Amino acid sequence: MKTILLFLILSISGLTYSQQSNTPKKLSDISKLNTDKKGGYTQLNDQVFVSYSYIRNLGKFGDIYESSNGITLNYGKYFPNNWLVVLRTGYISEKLREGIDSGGYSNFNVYPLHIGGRYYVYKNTIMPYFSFMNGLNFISTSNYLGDPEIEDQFLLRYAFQVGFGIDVKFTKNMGMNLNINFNNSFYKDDDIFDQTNSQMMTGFEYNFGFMYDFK
Amino acid sequence: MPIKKFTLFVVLVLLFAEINFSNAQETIDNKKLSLKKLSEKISEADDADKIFLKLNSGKSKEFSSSSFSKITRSNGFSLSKEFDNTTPGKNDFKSLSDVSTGLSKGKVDISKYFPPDYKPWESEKHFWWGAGEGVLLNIFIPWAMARYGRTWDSTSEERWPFIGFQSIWNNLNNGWNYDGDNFLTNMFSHPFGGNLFYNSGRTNGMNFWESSAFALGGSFIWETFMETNQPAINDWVITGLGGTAFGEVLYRLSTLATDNTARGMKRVWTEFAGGIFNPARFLTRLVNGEISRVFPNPTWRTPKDLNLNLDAGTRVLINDSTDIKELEGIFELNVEYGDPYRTQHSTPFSHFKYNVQIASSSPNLTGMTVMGSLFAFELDENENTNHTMETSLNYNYLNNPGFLYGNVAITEQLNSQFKLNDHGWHVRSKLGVRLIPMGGTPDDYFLDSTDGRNYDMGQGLGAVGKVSLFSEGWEVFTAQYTMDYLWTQSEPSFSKHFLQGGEFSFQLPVKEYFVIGFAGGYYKRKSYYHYPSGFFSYPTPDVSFQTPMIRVFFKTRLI
Repeated sequence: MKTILLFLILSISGLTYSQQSNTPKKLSDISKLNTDKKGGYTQLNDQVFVSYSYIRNLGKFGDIYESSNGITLNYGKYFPNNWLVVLRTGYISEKLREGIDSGGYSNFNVYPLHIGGRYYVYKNTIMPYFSFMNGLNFISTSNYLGDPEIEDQFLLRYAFQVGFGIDVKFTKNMGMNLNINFNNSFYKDDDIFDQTNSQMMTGFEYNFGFMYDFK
Repeated sequence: MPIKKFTLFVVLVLLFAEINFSNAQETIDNKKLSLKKLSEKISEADDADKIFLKLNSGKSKEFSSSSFSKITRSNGFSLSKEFDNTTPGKNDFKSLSDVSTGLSKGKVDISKYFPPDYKPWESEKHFWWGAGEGVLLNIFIPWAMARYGRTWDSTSEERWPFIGFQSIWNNLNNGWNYDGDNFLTNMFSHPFGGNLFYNSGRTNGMNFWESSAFALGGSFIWETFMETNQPAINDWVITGLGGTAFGEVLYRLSTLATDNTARGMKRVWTEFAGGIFNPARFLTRLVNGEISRVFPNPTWRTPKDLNLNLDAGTRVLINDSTDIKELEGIFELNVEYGDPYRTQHSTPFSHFKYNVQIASSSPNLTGMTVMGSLFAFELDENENTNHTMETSLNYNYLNNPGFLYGNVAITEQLNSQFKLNDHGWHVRSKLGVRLIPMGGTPDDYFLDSTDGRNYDMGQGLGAVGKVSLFSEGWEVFTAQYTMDYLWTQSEPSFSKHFLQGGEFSFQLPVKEYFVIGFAGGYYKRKSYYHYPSGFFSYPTPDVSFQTPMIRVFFKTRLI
C-alpha cells in the first residue's frame, strides 16, 4: 500500500513539475517537438531500459515465497503513434517467508523471456501508459526444504502481466520509468491424487528503471 | 455479367417505383433552368443518388460495376454516393476538401446535410466513450441481469454474480485456471461477447489493434472482477482473440450494410440490418446521432472483391464410433471479403473469409470459421504467378455429430497463384503452419463437470494446405487438409490430441452466379491418454476414430 501511495505521489509530483516547467513555446518549436516525418510524436521512440523489480507474491505461492527481487533488461520498439512493443529478459530471485522450513525451495530463480506492448495514452514529458506482457518464465529451483528426496527442478511456464505506468523524460534521450504490474505465471497444477490445489505465481510487481531513447 | 445486370434491373425497377421524381422531372421538363439550377434541383430530391441511373439510362448496356466505375472516374460526372475507394485503409473518410473537390466536378452535394466542420465519429478516437460502452454493454448489463434477473438458490447453486471485495481479492490471489463451461458457451458465446467489447472500441474510433486490446482488457476485467469463480484463462483467450476475429468481421459487414448517405425508409432498414450484424455499432450510432445523419461513407466500405454466397444442400456424416449415419440439411453463408491473391493488404482484415453452417438437425449451429489477414507482403509477382506471405487470425468452431473441435489460431501461410491460360483459369494454393493459443476437443474419459464440460483444452500447433482450380470467381476443384496437435492443459491434463480434417470438392458453374457442387471429406481424431494407475477408469487406452462426410449442394452468389 505504501508503495502504491509513493507511486501516486511521485506521479502527481512529476505531472505538476512538468506542467510548471513547460514554458510557452513557439509554434515552430512545438511542431518540431511533437511530430516526425510520419506524423508521429518524437517523444516516443525506440528505447532500452533497465529496471529493478520488487514483486509482492500473493495466494498459495505467496504463503511460501513472500517476495522477490530482480533486474530486467528491456528493449522497446516504437510503432506510430501510441505503441511500444517491448521485449524483456532478466533475473528474479524468490525469497522464502521467515519461518518456512518445508514445502519450498531455498533457491528459486526465475528468468523471464517476455514480449508485449505498451499503449501510451499521453505523450509529453510525462507519458502514462497501459501495458501487457506475456511469454515464458524459465524457473530454476534447488534445495527443497523438508524432503531431501525431492529433486531440483527446471520448469518452463507461461506467464503474463497487465499493468500501467509512466515514463518521465529528463532529456531528449534519457528518462525514468515507473510501473505496477499484476503478475500471473502458471507454476504447479492440481494433483488429483494428493488433493492439492494448483498454485499460480500471482503478485504485484513494482518496477523502477532508467531508459535510453534512440532519438 | 448476368447477375449484375439482373441485380441492376431489379434495383432500377425498385428505384423507379420508389423515387420521388417531382423535382427532377420538373427540372427536365423546364428547359429554361440553368445547369446549376438543374444540379441544385437534383440534389434536393429525396433520393438524389438514384437519379444517376435515370439520367444515364442511355448507357444502360454499360451498367456493369466495372464500367460504372470507369464512367465515374473518366468523365468526373457522377452522382455516385460513395467516394474514392482506391486506397482502402489510408483515409477512412474523405475530408471536406475532397468533398468540395467532388462537388466541383459535379458530384452530388450531400454536405448540406452535415456541418462544414463535421468529422465522422469513427474518424476520431473516443477512448472513454468506448470504455464506457464496453462496460455498460458487456459488463454491467450481463452482470446485473444475472445477479438481479433471477432468483438464486443459496444452497445448491454456485452464486457466481454475488461478487464483493473479498471475491475480487480471492481472484487476484489465486490466479487463473480452466473453467467447466460447456463447449457452446466457451467456444461460441464467449467470442460473441468478445465481439461486443471489440466493437465498443472499434466503433469509437479505435483501430484494429487498439480494439483488440478492448476485447482482451474487457474479458480480463470480467474474469477478475465480475465473477466469484476463479478467473478462466480459456475464457480470456477465446473471448479476446475470438472476439477480435469475430468483431472485425461483423464491424465490416455492418458498415457494408449501412449507408450513411441513404434517407427515409431505406436508411431505417440499412441501419436495422447493420444493427443485427453489430449491436455495439448500432448503440454507438444511436448515442452519437449518426444513425440518422447523412454524411459520407468510409472509403473502404465496399471492397474491390466481395463474394457473398449462400449454399444449401444435404450432408451425410458417418459416425465411426457409433456407426450411425447422420443425414441432414446444411445451409451455409460464405463471405469472401477481398481476395488474398488480388487485394493489396492495407489494414488487418482487408481480406477475410467468414463461413457459418446451419444444420437441420441438432446441433443446429454446426460450424463457423473466420480467417482474417493481419499482415501480408508480396514475395513475387509477375504476369503468370504471384506469391504472398500472409499472417492471419483464425477462429474455428466445428460441432457436428461426429466431430467436436474449436480453436483460435494464428496462421503463417504462403498464398500462391499460377496463371494457366488467358481465359481466367488459375491454380491457387495455400500452405501454412499455425499456432493455437487455445483449442478444445473431447476427452473420452472425462468426468462430467457440473457445468457440462466434457472436453479438454490446451495449446497446440498445426498445419494447413489447400490447392484449387479457380475460374470466373469460383473454385471449380478444391482439395484441402488441416492437422492440429493439441496438448491438454486443463485439468485433468493427461491427454494429447491429434486432429485432422480433409475435404475435396467440385463446383460446376451453371450460371455465373450459380453452381452445383459435390464434396467429400473426413474428420479424424486420435487421442493419446496417459492417465495414472490410480485413475477411476484406468486403464485408459488411446482412442481413434474418423467421420467420413459426403455433401451435395447448390450455391448462389448474392453479391
